[in-house]
Amino acid sequence: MTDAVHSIDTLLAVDFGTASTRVALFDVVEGKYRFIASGEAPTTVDAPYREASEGMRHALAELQAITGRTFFDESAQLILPATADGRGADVLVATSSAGPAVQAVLVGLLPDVSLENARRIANTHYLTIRDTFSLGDTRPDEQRIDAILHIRPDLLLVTGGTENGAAEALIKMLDTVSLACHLLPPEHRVKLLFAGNTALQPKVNEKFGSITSVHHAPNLQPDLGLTDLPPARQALEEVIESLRVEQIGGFNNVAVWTGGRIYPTAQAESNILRFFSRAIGPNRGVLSVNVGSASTSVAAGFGDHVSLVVRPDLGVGVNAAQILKESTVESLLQWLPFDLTPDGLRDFVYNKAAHPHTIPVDPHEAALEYALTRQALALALRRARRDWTRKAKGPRADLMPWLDLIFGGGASLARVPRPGLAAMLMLDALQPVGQCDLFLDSHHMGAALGALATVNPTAVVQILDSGAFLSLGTTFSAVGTTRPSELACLATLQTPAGENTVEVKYGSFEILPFTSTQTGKLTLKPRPGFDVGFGPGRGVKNKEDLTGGAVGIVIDARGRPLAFPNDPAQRRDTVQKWIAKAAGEG
Amino acid sequence: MPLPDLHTSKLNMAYLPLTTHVTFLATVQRERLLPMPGEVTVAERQRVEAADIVARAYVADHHSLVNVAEALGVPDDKIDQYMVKDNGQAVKKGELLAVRKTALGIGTKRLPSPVDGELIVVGEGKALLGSFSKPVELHAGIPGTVLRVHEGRGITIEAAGALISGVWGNGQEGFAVMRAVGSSPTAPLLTEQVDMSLRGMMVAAGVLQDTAAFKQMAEVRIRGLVLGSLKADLIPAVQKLDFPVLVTEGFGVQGFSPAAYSLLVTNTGREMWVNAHPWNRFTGQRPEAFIPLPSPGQSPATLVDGDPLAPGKRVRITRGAEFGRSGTVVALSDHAVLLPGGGRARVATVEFEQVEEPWLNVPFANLEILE
Repeated sequence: MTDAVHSIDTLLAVDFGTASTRVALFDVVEGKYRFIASGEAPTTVDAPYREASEGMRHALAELQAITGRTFFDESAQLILPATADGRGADVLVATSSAGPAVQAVLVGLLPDVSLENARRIANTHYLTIRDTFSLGDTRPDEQRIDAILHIRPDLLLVTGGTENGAAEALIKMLDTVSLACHLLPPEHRVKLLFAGNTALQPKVNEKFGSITSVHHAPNLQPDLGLTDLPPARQALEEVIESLRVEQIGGFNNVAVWTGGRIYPTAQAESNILRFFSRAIGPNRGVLSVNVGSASTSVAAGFGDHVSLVVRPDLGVGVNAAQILKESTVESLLQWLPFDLTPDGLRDFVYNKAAHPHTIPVDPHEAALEYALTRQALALALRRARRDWTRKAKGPRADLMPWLDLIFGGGASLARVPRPGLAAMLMLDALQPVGQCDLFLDSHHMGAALGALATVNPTAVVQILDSGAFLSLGTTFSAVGTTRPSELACLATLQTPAGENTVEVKYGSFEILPFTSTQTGKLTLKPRPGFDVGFGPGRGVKNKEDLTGGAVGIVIDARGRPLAFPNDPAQRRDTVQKWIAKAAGEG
Repeated sequence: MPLPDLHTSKLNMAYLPLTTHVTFLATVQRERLLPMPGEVTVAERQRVEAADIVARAYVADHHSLVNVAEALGVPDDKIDQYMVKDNGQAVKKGELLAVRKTALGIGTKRLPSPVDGELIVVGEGKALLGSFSKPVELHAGIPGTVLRVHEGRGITIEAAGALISGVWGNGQEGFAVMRAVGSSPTAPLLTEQVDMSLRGMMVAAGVLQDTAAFKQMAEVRIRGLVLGSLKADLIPAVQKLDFPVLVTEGFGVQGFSPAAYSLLVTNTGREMWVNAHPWNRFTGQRPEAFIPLPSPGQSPATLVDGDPLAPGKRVRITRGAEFGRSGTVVALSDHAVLLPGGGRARVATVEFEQVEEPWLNVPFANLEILE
């Protein structure tokens, strides 16, 4: 027995990533919740361990070594709640992006309506859509049955039919799916989430109740022209969580400690984005990106409109080869400051996929890793933008809308050796326009806070307020074009320490050091026709609301879309200069 | 050269790297499982050879859906009473599946089966038939002893021999006599080396860097390839080959590690099982090559997987200019140190046998344990 204390002061969060399991400790310091420390260890979800809690114990051992706080009792049980003598934690929350992606088949009526809605909620999860059945699918029933037997999906996501609408076509399609489910091995009990016409729920139970695990969600499309995605998205999240607890060794124990929930990492992170998006309002956006070994996610918020896209097949480690499949080799080579053959690049990418948890040890390897990170982000962003609200405003349809904040996370960004390099990677891959503040989730706290928000929102607000994310600074990205090396913008920063003026040439960026604690006034004089966020050719004088950060104020005049010199040697030289400047060496 | 002072770890915070096997002799246990439930045809403690069938399943390779209700002109939920075949019963093409008789026989409706096969299930007014061209037969793959029978699914085989873990495979498997070709671990496979002496053999070669030898390999009918490394641009072509191709180290021209090369050269002329199925990190099924070896008397030690990184462990470097070098861990840092690329990471001091550079500090993340 432990001596329980009554207030919920000590909060513990664990995130199971593909490569690393991270724990973070939060506690009340001088009356407010604060981040205390974190621990990290290799994830043990995969063979030969197949026991997630093993990696968590190692990560907690590191946390214990740092803080001196004990988390396990003599019988190796997590101490929950915390004891009066300062052992254990009051609450544990968990998030995960580890384990293989859920294999799903989507079933809907019309490809552009119900199936598209199903696809939109499916894309918010670590889920691979292996096949889709709809009225637009001309395959005979036998082929659909063979497809299900071949795929052996973990999940069937079924949509279709408005409330009180026609039911026969969907029932007919489900007949085939039901016959296929009869043929799956008995130990492979697929989960079925029905988010269609609610009048059909009894029929779905009747057809699938004995052969699948049936779950219901409110209709994705209750009426013609009306979609209601959030309830079905929430139901899908819960179904996937239960599937993960069944599939991943040790998650059942972790779920007991957390009160049943192990949130998907991307969803938890998007909770935090939602908080900022609502605070900022619909006129400007908030973006959160996360690049991991196996997956990449992009969440965007414009007021109440928040969209999330998870790419479980795209990452910079185990899924690095997917980057090559979706990109030209040249699009990766353009980021390298040295000469490399296409064959050399391919060999590097496949070696990274074979040894996904390795880290770069020299500048060349680091540059290759940066190229993968940029391209994974750019590819995920391209997919994500399809779901963004059309009301998002920006300077041009082919460019990014105006964004106030960008949060970068995931090991690829968090472990770069200099904050300036993280800022550069975000600018290169995302290419924001105008004024935007950049933050780095250097302690992997986004997911932890998103999960904690469900149990203690006050703590989350206080922790965010205390600087949970590393502020990199404020960027001003110019839209416009001129000859290389022509002046694009003149920037002057006045601080109590003095005045600093830089000429920003087209094709380059400049950094004005300015920390979060400094005060100052910024004056920008862009070249006629160049828009740094205040309209073409319009500058700003003595601007005071500057965020500042570990990098400072970045004026990026490399063009939107970003332009490279045509000559390969000149391009390599330019990229090297960018890297050196971002690393504080140029 | 003196070893560096790394403030060797006192905190016992284990780092768990991947374990890779380049093992000259060990007891290996491998599961052999059917894709669908079936029947196991061998018993525990039975000796099996590589080509022996150990389990069999009847899995339909084609399905036919027959609309019985429509053919008989009856409601969907009434067809059971008209079926003349039961679920699981075999049926020949043209043989009656269902019949709806009328009082005088006039207008009787008969529904023949459109295929040879089995009636799998009846439901929703339809009958689902499965056609079987041949059963799925599961071969032992490696010669050994049946350690366990997994009822209806397959077996676990135990065998003694040499094992090399791989990093990539083209999705196939095979068993044949292995011949190592080439004069060094990094020697590329040359077309002229693929002659009739390699007919029906597994060929081990340091590097495959072009497709020049593919036509010759097809003519000679080699049974498989074990490569140290493969040029990554050849992956699409290699995936189309009809024999297993296993890559043990990685992609490029680095070839075999000295240990893998030594193992292959030592065992040239022996039979080898090559499992070139893709690496599934979640389940632990990894591409590999196994050479059964006699082990008179006591069984050799079983394989160890998943040990933490520790002084005394044999390790191999998996990234950077030193990719493939193997040595022994002599110390672990308890704090992150600055790397030449600018990053910080905890490192292990690895001691090598080569005199010219006797030790290196290598990030934990760039090491795998060699067993």
